[in-house]
Parts: sequence; C-alpha cells; structure tokens
Amino acid sequence: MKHFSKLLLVGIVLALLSLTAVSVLAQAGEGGVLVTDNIGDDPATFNPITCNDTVCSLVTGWLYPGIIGLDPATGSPAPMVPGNVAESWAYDDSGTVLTINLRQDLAWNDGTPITSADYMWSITAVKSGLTSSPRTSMFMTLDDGTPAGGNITNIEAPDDYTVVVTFDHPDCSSFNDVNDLPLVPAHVFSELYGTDYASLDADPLAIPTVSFGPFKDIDFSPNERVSLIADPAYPDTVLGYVSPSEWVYKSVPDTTVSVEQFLAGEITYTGIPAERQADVAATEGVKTFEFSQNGFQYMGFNLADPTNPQNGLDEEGNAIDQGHHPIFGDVRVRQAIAHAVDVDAMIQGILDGRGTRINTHTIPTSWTYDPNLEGFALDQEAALALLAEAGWVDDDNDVSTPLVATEDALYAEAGTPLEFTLQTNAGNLARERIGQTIQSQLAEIGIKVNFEAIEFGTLVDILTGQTFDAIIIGWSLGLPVDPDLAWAYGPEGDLVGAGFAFTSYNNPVFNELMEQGKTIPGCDIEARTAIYQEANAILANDLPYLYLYAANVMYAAQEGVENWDPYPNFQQWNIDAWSVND
Amino acid sequence: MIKYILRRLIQAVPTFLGITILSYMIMWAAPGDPVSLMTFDPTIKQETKERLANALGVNDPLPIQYLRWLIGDEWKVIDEDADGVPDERPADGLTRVRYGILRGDFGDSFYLRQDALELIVQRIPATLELSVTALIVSLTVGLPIGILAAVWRGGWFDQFTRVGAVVGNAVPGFWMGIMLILFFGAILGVLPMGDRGCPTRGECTPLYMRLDHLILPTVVLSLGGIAGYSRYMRASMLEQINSDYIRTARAKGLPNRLVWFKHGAKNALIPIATFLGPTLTGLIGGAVITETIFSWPGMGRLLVSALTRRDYPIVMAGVVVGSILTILGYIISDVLYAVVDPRIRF
Amino acid sequence: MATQATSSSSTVVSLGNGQEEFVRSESLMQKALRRLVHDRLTMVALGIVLLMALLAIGAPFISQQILHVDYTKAEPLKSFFGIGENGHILGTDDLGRDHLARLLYAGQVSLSIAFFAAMLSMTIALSLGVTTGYFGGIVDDLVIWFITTLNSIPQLFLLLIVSAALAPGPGSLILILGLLGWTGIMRLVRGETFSLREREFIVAARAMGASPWRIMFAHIVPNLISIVVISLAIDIGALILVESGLSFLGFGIQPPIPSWGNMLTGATTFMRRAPHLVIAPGILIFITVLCMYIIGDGIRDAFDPTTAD
Repeated sequence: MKHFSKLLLVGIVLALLSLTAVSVLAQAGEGGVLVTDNIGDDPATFNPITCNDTVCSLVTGWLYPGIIGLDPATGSPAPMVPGNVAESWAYDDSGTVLTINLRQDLAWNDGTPITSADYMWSITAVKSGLTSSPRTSMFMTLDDGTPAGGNITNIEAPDDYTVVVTFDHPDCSSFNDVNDLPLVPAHVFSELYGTDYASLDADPLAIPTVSFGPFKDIDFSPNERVSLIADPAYPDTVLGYVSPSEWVYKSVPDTTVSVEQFLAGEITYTGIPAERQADVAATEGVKTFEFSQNGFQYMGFNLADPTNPQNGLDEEGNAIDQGHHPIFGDVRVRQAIAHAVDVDAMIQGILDGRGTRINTHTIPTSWTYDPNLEGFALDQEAALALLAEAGWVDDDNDVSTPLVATEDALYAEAGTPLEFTLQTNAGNLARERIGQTIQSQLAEIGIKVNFEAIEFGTLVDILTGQTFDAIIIGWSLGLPVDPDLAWAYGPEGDLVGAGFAFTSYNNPVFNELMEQGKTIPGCDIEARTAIYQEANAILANDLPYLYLYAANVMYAAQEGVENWDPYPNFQQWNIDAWSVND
Repeated sequence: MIKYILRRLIQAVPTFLGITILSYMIMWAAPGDPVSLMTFDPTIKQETKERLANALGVNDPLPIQYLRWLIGDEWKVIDEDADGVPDERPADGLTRVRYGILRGDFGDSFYLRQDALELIVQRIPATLELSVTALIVSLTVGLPIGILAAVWRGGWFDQFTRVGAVVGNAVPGFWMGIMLILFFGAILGVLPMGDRGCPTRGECTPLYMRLDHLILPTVVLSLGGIAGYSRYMRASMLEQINSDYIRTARAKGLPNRLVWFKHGAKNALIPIATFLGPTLTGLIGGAVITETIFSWPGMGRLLVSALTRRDYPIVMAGVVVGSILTILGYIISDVLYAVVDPRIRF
Repeated sequence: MATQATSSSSTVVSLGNGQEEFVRSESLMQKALRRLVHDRLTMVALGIVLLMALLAIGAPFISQQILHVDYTKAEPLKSFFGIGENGHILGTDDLGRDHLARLLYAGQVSLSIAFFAAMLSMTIALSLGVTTGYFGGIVDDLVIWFITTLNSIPQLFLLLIVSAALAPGPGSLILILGLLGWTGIMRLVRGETFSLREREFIVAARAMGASPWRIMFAHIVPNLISIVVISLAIDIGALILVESGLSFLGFGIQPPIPSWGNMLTGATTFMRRAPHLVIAPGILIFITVLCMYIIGDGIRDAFDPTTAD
C-alpha cells in the first residue's frame, strides 16, 4: 500500500509537470477512447423519431440536434446551448403561439445547412400517426383525425429559420413538448423514406450517414456494445475540436461486474449504484461527482376499493364512486404510518446517508421546493393515537398480533385485523430493503405488513390495474422540471389499466390548484411557485404516497480523464473536450 | 430403423402443434402486458397506448392472433403488388403482411422491431462458442475421470476426484463467476472481466484469437458437466467392470486394461448417450446466468429480456426453435441408444 | 448372456412368498448399511447434512432461546456489524438483522425446497420411467410426447407464470421445481428398464407367469436403486444451486423470506464492504451440496451387490 501511494504521488507530480505539454499536444481525435457501460439493454432503434429507450436516446443524442437545449448548469431551457438550434423564442400575448428562431450558422456534416425543414420533417412524420413513435402524445389530433391527448394543434415553419408552434390553450407545461422530437437531416430522410412514414419502422437499425454531433458512424453489436467515432466536422465544440477519438457504450448486465470493471480501469466513466457508492468514493485513482437524484422513492397507497377498481371519471367527466380502501381510505391511518416509519434511519442505514428525505412530491433541487414544509416526525405514540382515533385498537394487549378495527373504523368492518400487502419489483435491492424495513417498523405498532418482491411486468399489471394495497416504487422526474402533478393525483389520470394516478386520490382543492398553476397568464414563476407549494403542502398532509427520499446519484471517472466537468444530471455535456491519458 | 424414425417424426407433428397452442395460451394467461411495459411513462398518453396496441395487434381476440402467428394474414390483407406492404392499412393497424411461422415468418419483435427469428439466429454464434466449448471440456475431462475412478476404485485417484470433481460445482454459478472475475480479473489482472473480446468496431475476430475471453465462462459452465459426467461414468463403468462378461474375459487371461477400456468403457457409455440428445439441444438455449455475469451476447440473455418485457414474438420464436430442437434431440438420442446397444430392437 | 443383476434376483424367481423376499432384501439392506458405516467419508458427509437439517429445524428455538434475536427485525442503523460485534455471532446483515439466525431460517427454506422437490421429481421419474420402459408402446409414446412438450416450454417462462399466479414462496417453488425436474432421470430410468426387460432373469420371470407389476417392483426397481439414489442425492445438491441461481435472476424465493440463495445474491453487492455476509451462506451452500454428492456416491457403492467388502 505504501509503495502504491508513493507511485501515485510520483504519478501526480509527473502529471502536473506534463499538464501544459498535454494540453498543447491534445488535438482533434487524440483524446483516446471513452468507454462507458449500461445494464445490458439493446437500443431498439437508431432512428431518433421512433426512439423510446434510454440507450437509443443517448446514442441518437450524439447524432441529431434538439431544438431547444437545456443549460447544463441550471437544467432549464436556454437559447444557444451547444448542440441545439434555438437562438431565441417568444410567446405571443395569448400565450398560445410560440415562435422559435433558429441559429443560421449550423450545418449537417455533409455541408447542408440545418433549417426549420429538418425539424418539420420529424414533426410531420410523427403527426402522420404512421410511425411507432410514442411522441404522438404532444399533438392534440393526428393527421388521420384521431385525438392524441396533447396540447399542440399545429407546428409550421414560415421560413428556413423560424418555427411557429400553436397550442390549443395556454399551458405552462406544454412548452417542454416542443423538445420531444429532434431535428433530422430532411434532405436525407426524404430520400430514404419519402412520405411513407410507416417505413421508418421497417429497418429500425438503419443509420443515415449524415449527422450533427461530436460523434458519428454507429457500429452496433447486439448485447455487446455500440461504438461511435469522433466527427471532426462538428462545429459546436468547447475546445474548437472533438478531442476523444471514439465513444464505446458497452453492455455489462451485472452491476457488481460493472463496478469492478470500472475499478479495474476497463471502463472510463460510469454511474455507480447506491450500494457501491461508499466503496467507489473510498477508492484511490478515480474521481467522483455526487448529486441528489432527479426523482424519488415512495410507498404508494391505494385509497379506493382494491376489489373493485374504477376509473376516476366517467365518459362525461363526472366523478365515479370508487369505494374506499378499508385501511388506507382513512387519512389518519396514512398519517399514523408516516409517524411510524423511520425514514432518516433508512437513509443512514440503506443509503449510507447518501440521500435526502422528502415530505412531498417535490425534490430539493426543484424550483417549487419549499424548505419550510415539515413532514411527520418519528413518533410511535402519535401513530398509535391516530390509529385509535381512526378506530384501530389493540384488542388483546399483545403487540405481536395486529391491531383490529372497532365499530369506529370508517371503512373497515369491526374485527378486521390491520394487515395489508406491500409489493415492490424484485431485483431492486434498495426497494427490497425499504420494504423489509417498513415491514419491521410497522410491526412495532401492530400493523402487519405482508411484503412481497415480485417481477416487474406483474407489478405493473397490479399497479395500473389498481388491485394493490400499497406499493414501493419511484418516479424519475423529467428535465426541465415540470411541477404539474395532475397526471399522478388527478382524476383524469385515474384510469384502470392505463393511468398513473393509481392511488385514486381525488381532492378538488388540489385539482383546482393544478389547473391554476398551468394556466396562469405568462407562466409567472413566482406565482406558480406559490401555487405549487400550496398544492405540495396538501399532499404532504393527505399522503396519497408516503414520500421517502431522493437518493444520491454518483458519476465516477478514471483519474486520467481530463476536462471531466459534470453538472447534476448532465454528466457528458462537454464530452467533446474530454481526453483520457493512459 | 427408418420406419421407427419416420414414425417418431410423424408423431412429432401433433406434439409441435400442441406445444404452440399450449405456450401461446400460457403466455397470454401470464400477467403483464407488453404495451404497458413499453409505455410506463407518464408523458405518454392513453391515446398513444391504444394506437400502439393496435399496431402490435395485441388487441385482437386470442384465436385470431394465434392464427395470424401460425399461418399468416395475407388472405385478409389487400396487397396486389405483393411487396409485403399492405396497399391499405389494415384495420388492426399492423404495418406489414404476416406469413405465419409455418412459412418461416415469426413476426417482428414488439420492442426491438426486427424479425424475431433473425434476432435469435443472430445470437447463435456467440451461444455456440460458449456452450460447445463447455460441452467439449466437460466430456473430455469428465468421462476419463469417471473411467479411471472406476478402474482405480477406492484408490487415491478415486477419492481425490470423488471430492475434487464436485468441489467446483458445489457453489452457485453466479457466485463462482463473480469470484473468478474478481480474482483473475480485478486482483491478478491476468484474464479479461467478461465479454467476447471482439474489437470495439467492425467484425469480430476469429475465436482462436480471443481464447482468453473463453477461459473463465467455460470453467463456470463446464464444472457442472465434469462433475455430472464423471459421476455417471464412474457408476456406469463400475457396473460394467463387475459384470460377468468382463469377469469372463479377465478369467480367460485378457489383460485388465484392454478389457476395461475396450469393452467396459464402450458399454458404459450407453446410459450416457441418453443424455446427449437433450444436452445438445439444451446448449442452444444458452446459459442465462453465465451470459449475464460475463456480458456474453448469447441467446439466454435475449430470451430473458424478451420475457421480462413480454416481447411475445421473440419468446414464441424461442419456444418454437427450442421445441423443434428438443424433439429432434430426443429422436437422435433414442436412435443413438439403439445403435450403441444392440439388444434394443424397435 | 448373464448380467450383474442375476445375483441379486435369482433367489426370488419363485415368487408368491413374501417372507422369502423380505429376508432377501433385509440382508441386502444390512450388507449395504454395514458397508456404509465403514465408509468414513460418506458418514462424515451424512453427519454434516443431518446436523444442517437439525440446525435448520431448530432455528426458532436457537434464535429465540439461545441467541435471543428476532430474525425479521430490520434496524438499518445496526447494519453491517462484523463477526462477534455487539453480541451478533456472525454479525448483522445489510438491514441490521442477526446473520446467524437468518442463516438458520434460510436453511429451513433452502433444504426443504431441495429435499421435497427432489423427492417429488424422483417419485414421478421412477414410476413413469419404469412403466413406460417396461410396457413401451402407446403409454411410452404418450409420456414421451408429454416430456417433449414440457421441455420445449422455457422453464423460466413457467416459473414466471407460477410466481405470478401463486404467491412466490417455498411451496410454489417446490411444486414447480419438482414438476419440471423429473424428465432427465425419467429418461435414464426408462432407458435402463428398456434393456433390463430383455434380460434373461426378467424373461424367465415372465415365462413363469409373473405379473408385469410384480416384475417391475420386485426385479426392475431393485436394479435401478443405484441410479435412483445417486440421482436423488445429486438432485438435492443441484436444487440448492438452482434455487440460488433463480434468486440471482429474480425468479426464486424473494425477500423477506430468507434462503441461502437470496442471501448470497443480496450479499454479493456488499462483497467488498462485508465479506462475511458472502462467505457464510456461500460456505453453507458449498458444504451441503458437496456432502450430497459424496453421499450419493457412497450409497451407490454400498448398494452395489458386487462390491467386494
């Protein structure tokens, strides 16, 4: 070990000495091969229009520009973000017409200028309804007249460098939909596919030769890797040239093996799972970057009758009586559970302290976060008192048996034991650990939890079918942050078998706030913040979910990677400047 | 003999049909739905899900789906220029004409959108690389160990192999694999930590140039075979050694070794032959765990991920290919049995 | 052509006399037992396995009365205690539960799954194998048809459905492993029966008017003992490994029910931080499986009628 640190010291000194020389020497394509990995999924397509998985989004992200970029430092939409084409944009007074001006200095790597026609090609293809792209959800109706559920009624390009988007009604959340589709080289795609948009799906792995990005030229081997090489023609670089010569996306399905491969230097940079962050942080020779995840874990309650799942609204938009869950129908029981579960101990014990407790559907990095919002303190007495008030008592003075319902219970028959099933997806170690901890902690106050880890596909069936009691999963929130939560708690999203408002929570005050929040004139940030903080305070008290924590995400790279400068959620924003020294 | 093989092949037809109906039904009875799994994303609206379900044809009644899968649907699609693209979009939204598995069309993967059979065939080279190597190693190591252990029964070799051959096989494969990667890859740094060792771009190099990548996964995969074959071979060989004809041969003065190896070993192989057919077909299925640990791009991983995504075309293509190979494997092994054991007549 | 089976069967060709047969099998049994007792390696293995079983059965008593711990009580703040720390003999796991107590309970689960599933598949394999091998014809064709069908459906698929239809637990896993695992041995038994039925002593018994069932049970089954016993022992060992492999893939016993397999799977992630969590279940699996192989071999030798003492 001594020898090792000595060597390391010598190495650092040498590296420092040669730093100036290196930065002079580094040239286009001489920055070495960057190797990263994923958990083994293959991209379903290399077509950016039909792409709907994380592997293909990452790969096509290198090849095709977006219209409005996100500033890596803030995570918010910004003009002139490298690799994106928007120069500026503005709404009209009605808040329904968005005009985007495009940069005029960009060209595909065959020299053809990038124009609004390139954006329109993607839009026209998806709006035709002939592709398999799930992005039809941005439009209100498709060309064949079928409703698609979105807010955009029309997109057109009056000239080569202007795009005009028309929305049906003002909605502050709809802005992000504009970014759902990237630009594609229209001159190439027209030649390949004409107007037969269905043929986009005929050969999903076909790769057009013309692109715009730091890398080009996909070479794909199923379940092994995707490789791209540097594109010297890319103009939007940090240093004035693309430094790495090649980017390899390896498929390493086992996370233990993946971390070991990284520690052994076979992988240049990667994300580290929560369970291994402490190991990697303590390892010499690697550098890490840690930040709070853009998402959170929670335990969701089914508030409606699980034996007879119903939609939130009927076809005329009237509320349907969904019945009540015998246990969770009563908010006091949910609050008692919040008093009894020790989330801080979970963060310490399960995440080694690498996580942040949350009390509502908002994470600390969001602009609607309210630092003053208090959660339920750990307090078993208070929990028991709330349960007693809700009509659940210990009938036999035996703590090892569950409490039972008395006549006072709102929705449970007298004599029913306080017992429910808690499910999560098998294979997610953190959630399995949360589940067992909750089971053990609730047993202490006389709530019997039957915890099950089941296969993900089966769990999705139970979840969207709304036949569950309680479930542990997580949400990852998109970027830029969209504070609208109607999809998770509003009755329109409460669709048996399809929607995501599966808790059947329905609070008119909350629904009204959601409506206000997205239709506020001019989308004034301060006014919206106040509205969403109020809505989140309601959730924190009503607890359709027991909000748990936002875990930390860790990126790690080999010590030798230069110019590695990650921001939260934007690890690779300046990848064209990186270089690896072996 | 030929009559027997023919009879078995004809019998295989109803077997095959039974398998397809049964697996199709089981598959649809299983919980989980491909469309909800592909669209488990709050930004995707209900309307889009409907559209996708129609395009995949999963909204049709089960018998229709089965028939389309089995015999195709071009009889109800207008396609006058016969270019495989319907002239008008069919009501069920399917984007291409199906010919059915009986004519070799297994449909397109829901998720990967490519021809399901092609996806399976793509994985065969990698799967065979690993499993054939493992089979060869387990036979060439396992059988001689079994024979020698029987011949030197009770001696140190017998005792040593009796424990030794199974030591490596007495820990779970995934654990063995991770430990080998950790020891030889991470700590010693002498062997690769997984994958086939192909270059990051272009065609894969020939197998002999990347044998180092085969060593660890082969060890993990063949330990079971070595233990199994050596134990069965030892038992089978002992029966032969103790049989009267061997004793007679020895009594007549033939040297021990000659009798044992020439006659005994040959006959002792008969029970082993029954394993061979199923083993050969089992190889095609791949080794899910070993492939996962060693990042090997084989068939097992494809099938498991198809299962977890409810990607039915791939799963069903796997079932069909698997069942055909299994049926053939059993016929071959029964025929082999008859060939090596002259007492059996059909 | 005489075969090795003659020696053990020639005395009972007379049939009809239960007493005679009883005496014979008794003496064979005694002989086997005597040999077994002298096979030290097998006896040690047997002893270890019995000890494991005893410890597993005694898990509730040991953890409550001796260790004074509740194996389900998760206290994340007390996780990853080392060996002997804070009175936990084998430390605590990733949720602060006593590792030793969990290993004992996991032993209950792992051992009973392996044992009962192996017994189930052996019963099916033996009865079907002997019947089809002896009668052949249409019964044989039917069973072979069934086996082919069963083997052609990916087992993972069946496991998936079962784990969804039944609550995933030890009971359903025993059922599914038992019902799926018999085909290999059944074919072995069937093949062996095939060749046995043509042998002289069977032909003789048939000529003397013995009923087919009598021939099967009195003459064929005893000759299959070695195959069956080896298979059973190896099967139990193999099933312990199968269970852990399924845990790794997410189709096995799921938390919170502990099994050696899922304890090992979970602990692999924490290999560098808490090696003892990986070593303990690993050793238990290793020793049990190894002992089962050794026992299989030892019993086979003991039952071999031609072994020189």
